[in-house]
Amino acid sequence: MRLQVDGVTVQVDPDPEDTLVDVLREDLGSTAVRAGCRNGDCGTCTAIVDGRCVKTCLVLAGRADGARVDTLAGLGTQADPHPVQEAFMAEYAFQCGFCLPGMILSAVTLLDHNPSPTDADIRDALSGNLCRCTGYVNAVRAVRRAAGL
Amino acid sequence: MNTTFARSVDEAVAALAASVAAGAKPLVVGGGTLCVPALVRGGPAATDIVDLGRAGLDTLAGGPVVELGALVSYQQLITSPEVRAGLPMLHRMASGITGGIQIRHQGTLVGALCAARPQSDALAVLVALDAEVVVRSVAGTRIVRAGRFLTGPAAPDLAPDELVTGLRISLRPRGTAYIKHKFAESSWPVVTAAAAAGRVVLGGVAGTPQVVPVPAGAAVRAAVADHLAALPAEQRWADLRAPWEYRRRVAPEIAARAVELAEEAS
Amino acid sequence: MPAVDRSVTETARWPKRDAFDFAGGTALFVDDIRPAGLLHMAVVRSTRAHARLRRVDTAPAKVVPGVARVLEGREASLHLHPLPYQFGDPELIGGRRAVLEALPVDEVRYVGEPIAVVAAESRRAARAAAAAVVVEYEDLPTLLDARAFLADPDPRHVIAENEVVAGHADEVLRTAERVVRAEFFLGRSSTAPIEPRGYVADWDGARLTVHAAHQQPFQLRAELAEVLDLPVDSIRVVVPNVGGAFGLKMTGPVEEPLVCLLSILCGRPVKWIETRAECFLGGGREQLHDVEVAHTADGRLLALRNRIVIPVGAEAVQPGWRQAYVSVAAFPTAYVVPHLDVRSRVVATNLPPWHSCRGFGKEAPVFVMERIMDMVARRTGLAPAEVRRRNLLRPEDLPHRMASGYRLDSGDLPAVLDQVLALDEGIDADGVGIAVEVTPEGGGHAAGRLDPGVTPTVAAPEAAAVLLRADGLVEVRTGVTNPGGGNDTALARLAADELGITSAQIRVVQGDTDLCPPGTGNASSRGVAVGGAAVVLAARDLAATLRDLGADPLTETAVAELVARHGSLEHVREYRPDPPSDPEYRYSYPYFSSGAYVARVDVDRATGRVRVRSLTAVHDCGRVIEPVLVEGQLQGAMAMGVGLALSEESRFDERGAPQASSFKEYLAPRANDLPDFVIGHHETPAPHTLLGAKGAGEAGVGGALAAIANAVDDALARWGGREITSVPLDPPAVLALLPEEAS
Repeated sequence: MRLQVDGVTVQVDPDPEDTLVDVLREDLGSTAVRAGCRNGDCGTCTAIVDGRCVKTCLVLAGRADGARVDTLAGLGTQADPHPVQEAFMAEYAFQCGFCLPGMILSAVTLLDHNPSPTDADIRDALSGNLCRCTGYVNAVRAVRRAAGL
Repeated sequence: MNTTFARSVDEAVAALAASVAAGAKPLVVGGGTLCVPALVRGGPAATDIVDLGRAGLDTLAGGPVVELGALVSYQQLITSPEVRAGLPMLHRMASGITGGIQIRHQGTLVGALCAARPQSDALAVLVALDAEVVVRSVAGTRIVRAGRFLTGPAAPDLAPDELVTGLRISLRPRGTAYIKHKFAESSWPVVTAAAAAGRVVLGGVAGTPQVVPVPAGAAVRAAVADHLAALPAEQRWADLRAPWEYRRRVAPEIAARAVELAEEAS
Repeated sequence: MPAVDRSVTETARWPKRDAFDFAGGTALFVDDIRPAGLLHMAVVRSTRAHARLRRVDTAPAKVVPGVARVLEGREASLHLHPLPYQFGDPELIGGRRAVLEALPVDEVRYVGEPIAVVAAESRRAARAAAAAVVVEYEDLPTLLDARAFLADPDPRHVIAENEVVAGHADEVLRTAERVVRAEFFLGRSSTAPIEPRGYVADWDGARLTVHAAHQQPFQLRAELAEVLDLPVDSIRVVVPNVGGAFGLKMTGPVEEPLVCLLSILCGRPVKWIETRAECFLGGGREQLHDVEVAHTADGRLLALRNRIVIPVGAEAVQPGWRQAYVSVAAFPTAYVVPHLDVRSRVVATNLPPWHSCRGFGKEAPVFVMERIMDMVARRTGLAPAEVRRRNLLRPEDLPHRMASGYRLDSGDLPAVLDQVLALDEGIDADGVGIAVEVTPEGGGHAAGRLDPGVTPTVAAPEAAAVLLRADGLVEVRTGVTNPGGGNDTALARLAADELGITSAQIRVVQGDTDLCPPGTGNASSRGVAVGGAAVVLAARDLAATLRDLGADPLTETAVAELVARHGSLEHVREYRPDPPSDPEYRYSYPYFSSGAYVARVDVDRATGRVRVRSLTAVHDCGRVIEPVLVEGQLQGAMAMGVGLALSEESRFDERGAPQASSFKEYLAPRANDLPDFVIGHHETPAPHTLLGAKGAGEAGVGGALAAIANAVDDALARWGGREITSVPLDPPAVLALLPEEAS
């Protein structure tokens, strides 16, 4: 099957039971999606698949044949980070950083659809991602900052 | 394991029929939020997978009857103007789905219906809206009302070679409301109440949604309390989150809140 | 592995060093390590809570395609020595010693106990093979919780007893006019970092390299050397980025030697990544306190009697069970109680063993003491804050030797309380609760009087090396590790300040036993207070050497030239905090942190659902080195405290099987469960640490937990509810305290 991952077309041959997170991590070596629960709860396997923000541990790999997958790694660069990446770094919105794929991509998706979210909107948007280090305080600040609020 | 990424409903039901005929155990994957992790854990004893991701079932059509495909996500329900205006109860339910942006993009109403978990958000709402469930197999199509489709906990009226292609729901722009009671954002719903058209449908109190008539002016709490008191012991629902006794105690209040909101919305 | 393009300035541009490694998704965690020829381990686990192993048949697993090796207890025991107890001998803290093997031969003691391990070419093959192993059991009687123990207190289950006694509590309680009696319970909970445990062991025929998501690489190395009978210097432990730990990732779980043994036996690298369900087996914190308190009409505590039962799961060498010692020794927390009689029985049960949990045993004493304060307030008609003021240790009481021998070095508890009351914004809510917390650190080491025959406890040192690199940077190598809290940022800053350079010019190397000086890793809130001091000393030495060489200012070019001329100029220093020696006591940990908390909650009377409206804290962790990092630590700990107060619970069924195996059952707080936290600092420099810093890693869990519980109790009291004595306060628990007519 074929995938376009962060703009690069790749060919992989997954097992039928493999999930997209397996393909991205094990076959393609991505470190920008991670496996924290393989149950759709923690959100750290999040990627944007054909424009939708999804948990890749819930997607059978074969379903993604031909899909465009955008991960955290393709969002911005060190020299030119995406505003949400920059805000998360500026606000110290993460500690261990393990949850960031889901946190940052959920925030990006929120702001794409709702440029001026309320705090409740922000907390709701981040609620698919678990973080045990921060208590979410600074992540909410970071999304506010990225929105220019 | 044999996996079919069906390109159409016909292909999907053909794969199901072939699998059943071969004595295999097919598993239909819709949104994937429940059955993919179960597969990864080695849970369901499925021997074949029929994936509906590319079967063209992700369309939502407006009109006096909203028709939505099995792969329509909660996010589609949230963004659909027809659902927002014509089925506000469904809109509210979809907006409150647990799991954040991602699960709203991935989870499906039909998937929740087919899983038929008593603690699910979807069941009481679909029964309250009297949704029609469109069931397909190679033998043809049959239509079942949601209330009949749900025969017990995790027991939909679905043969191994059948799948649900979608739902038909008549518009109900006014006089409905949905309330769910859950313990934390991570928690599944404990008691749900969907009020519409002189009745309130309760989820999380029994193996299947409970329909309690509440004519205008009726004492909702008492009606619900009486209904629950009469519920046979074997139908009473309890899970890790709460025992039956708790559900019995809070359900009248949850129902009353839903009915009150529905009256405000009429 | 993508190359990281990182200029020097980028390293220290943001509050957390190397932030873009994480924000850009290139940071490596243990599961990202995939050496060539990698095998995967899966674990066969007991399905019975207590049973004799009649037969373990591995033959069906060996024929599963892709299987390289299957190992059960009998064969493993030929290769492995028994596991050594971690953090010191159990006898030192009133414990009994068991001989514990990596895999059982005769008997399993909890659902989930490893029985055999499998190495295979893929995770799926390993899992399939593990499922194919056939185990026959003969069930034995089980003990699952504290109440069952009390119903039949068989001393054979008791693995430790601890007591803290001062004065004559029984006598005072007998004659006192006002006595409060209550039984307090804390449910079992876990730490549940988002990254579970994981190891990659790679034996090359001469050396064993272990990459581990771990808090204590040197302790892991020592354990592996002993269990595998290898020379210490033939083992290298490397800790990559760690996705949170909170106590979970300390040394002792049996998978550690097993994954290494499989690598040795197969001659190939072997990886084990814990599943989320496996991660949820472990836990801690559960305990039952039967308390009687005598107090005066004006709210002063006279005596406290407490009989504690602490079910720590099955016996294990990991340090989790030692939290039980701290739970006794930390009484009566921040207060003066003239007559104290606290005794515990630590009970081995047929649940999975305890692992260390953030707070390390101090949460329960804080919860119990803070509930008592509110109970006394209600009975005397005094305000809760006033009762606390009348009982708190005053600044002039410090340093204070607690009855357990723990030493409170410094602080100003009444001021911290007043500061948090002033900081609390006072939003209108159903209930308000306050709590005062002290966090005596020290990993459950024996305290108390230095009686004859008693061994003194010596605080572990930390060490650091500071050296110049040919590329113009200055390298700091430290024995403390970083589980994610960002102590590398603080360590770099401390070294930079001593050397008069920016922290961007510093590289911090942690978690590699080949490169770093030995240390305790990440434990007991000592990364900066102790590890940082070693860095400062080494950097000072280097600075002095550089002054002698006339090498100022230390530009990158200057550093490179110095290296060319003089070599790396490495300076190594060890630092051991030096509390005043006291011949009467066997142990004096050098610092305590303290804090006070105000929670405001709404309670839905009809459903029992609690919503936290505000949570405010003032924290005294001594000198604050990096305010943003310290606040971050506290925010995370407070969130965990809220979770423990309201929703987090590791439940097991009547057969001892776990009921909370995923985040759908174990309810960790999510973003929309929590309010913004408000945090203030009160800095009382620690007199006995070089930097004046205390620990910041464990405070907040017990304080937030207790403040929330008190706030819910305050709300319930308005509606005629019964007093809160247990956590978590999930809606059924809250509703059960309210009379039916109140809702």
